[in-house]
Amino acid sequence: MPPLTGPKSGDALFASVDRVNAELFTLTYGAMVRQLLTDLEEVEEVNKQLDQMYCFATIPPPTVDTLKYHRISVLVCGGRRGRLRVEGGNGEGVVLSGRGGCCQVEGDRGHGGGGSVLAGSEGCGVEAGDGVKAGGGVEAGERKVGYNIGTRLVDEFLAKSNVSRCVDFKETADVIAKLGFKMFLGVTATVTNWDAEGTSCSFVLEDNPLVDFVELPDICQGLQYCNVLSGVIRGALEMVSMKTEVTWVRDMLRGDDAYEMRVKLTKQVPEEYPYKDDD
Amino acid sequence: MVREVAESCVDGVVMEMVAAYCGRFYAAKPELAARRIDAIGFQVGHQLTERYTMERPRFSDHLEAIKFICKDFWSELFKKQIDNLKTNHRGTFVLQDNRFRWLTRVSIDPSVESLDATEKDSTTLGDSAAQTTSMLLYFPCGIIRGALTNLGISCSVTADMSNLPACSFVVRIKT
Repeated sequence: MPPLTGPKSGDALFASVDRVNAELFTLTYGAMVRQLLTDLEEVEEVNKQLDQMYCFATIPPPTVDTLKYHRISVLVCGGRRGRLRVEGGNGEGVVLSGRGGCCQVEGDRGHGGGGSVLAGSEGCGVEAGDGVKAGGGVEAGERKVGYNIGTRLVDEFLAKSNVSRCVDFKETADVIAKLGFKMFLGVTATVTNWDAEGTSCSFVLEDNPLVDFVELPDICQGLQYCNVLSGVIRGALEMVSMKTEVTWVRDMLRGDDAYEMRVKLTKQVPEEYPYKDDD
Repeated sequence: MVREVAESCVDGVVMEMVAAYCGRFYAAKPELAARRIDAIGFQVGHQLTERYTMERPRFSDHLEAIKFICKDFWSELFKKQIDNLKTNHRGTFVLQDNRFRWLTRVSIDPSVESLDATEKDSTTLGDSAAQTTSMLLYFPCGIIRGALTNLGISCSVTADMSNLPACSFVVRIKT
């Protein structure tokens, strides 16, 4: 008999959460992806929105002294083109708007002014004027669909599942595959292909409710439809102090036989306490 | 047995979708964001109705279709029926849900403000929370509109959230 205070099994966990018809979930996600494709036009940009994204950069005209950052990421809306003027500190930066190419900013990297802009994806420009906002540094203010969802789901998971702290990444991966996926999606994943150091593994999903009824048309072949899942894993793990990179290896929508995500632990950040002990 | 997922997944996707369209893509143009959110809802409602009415005969009149939305359709989505249905018998229906599920779970994070929020004082925080909620409600309005359109009823749907957590959806049939 398992102890009463021990962690719940996957099935028990799933039974304990509020559940909804999976169709609502699948269709909502699908409709959102479809709308994103219409609005953003570039498949790569949609992939990024689902998983990770650049900060949205706007510059309130005419002065930009809020731009005290060295790096500004720029969200590009597909198909647009324009000029982005960067001022501040003791330098000015000017965007070279390439013809359908990447945009760049040249600036004086003096005392906090100007800065370089990370190029957007190929084929996009930068919307000028009120469409472009100044963002924070790359870390601050990043907003991503999958990542955001993950940061919230992990709280719910830890609250409901009663798992104790995982000893190492291997245990973490097992918990995600058996309990995490089960609790939210109702399916379990298997963990395979561990590398020698135990920092990199694959999650394999044979059954994925996200893709019920989904077929990718030819024009969307570059689309990572399930990118939200990789974002969720990344977001969730970052909340428990693990920075990871997640890439897709196999995708059933592209003809493979299963869904496989490769998760690589890049950094384990020790938890920081907000107060110093000797205060 | 109908396949299920955790409700947090749906909440997560819906909240993120609203945040993305209101906060990231059309921050300065809420009407465009609203239209997109409504369009996403429309597609969902359209597809769900198709699945849920596959085995049923056509509805004989508008009232029957609206009652389907209030009972069977709402139950599939929110595990409860619409609590109150009113009509003026002239093409307007008010569907009232006394505890609309998505509103009870919405968390509005006041720290998610745009960067140039320095001139805003704290009294506008409430407005922005209300604005996010009203944006969120475009989604179920779209769902209802999509569902009714698939049943052959052209209409407009708006939400009234003056009495939270109750929410009323006003359906105006176009003749």
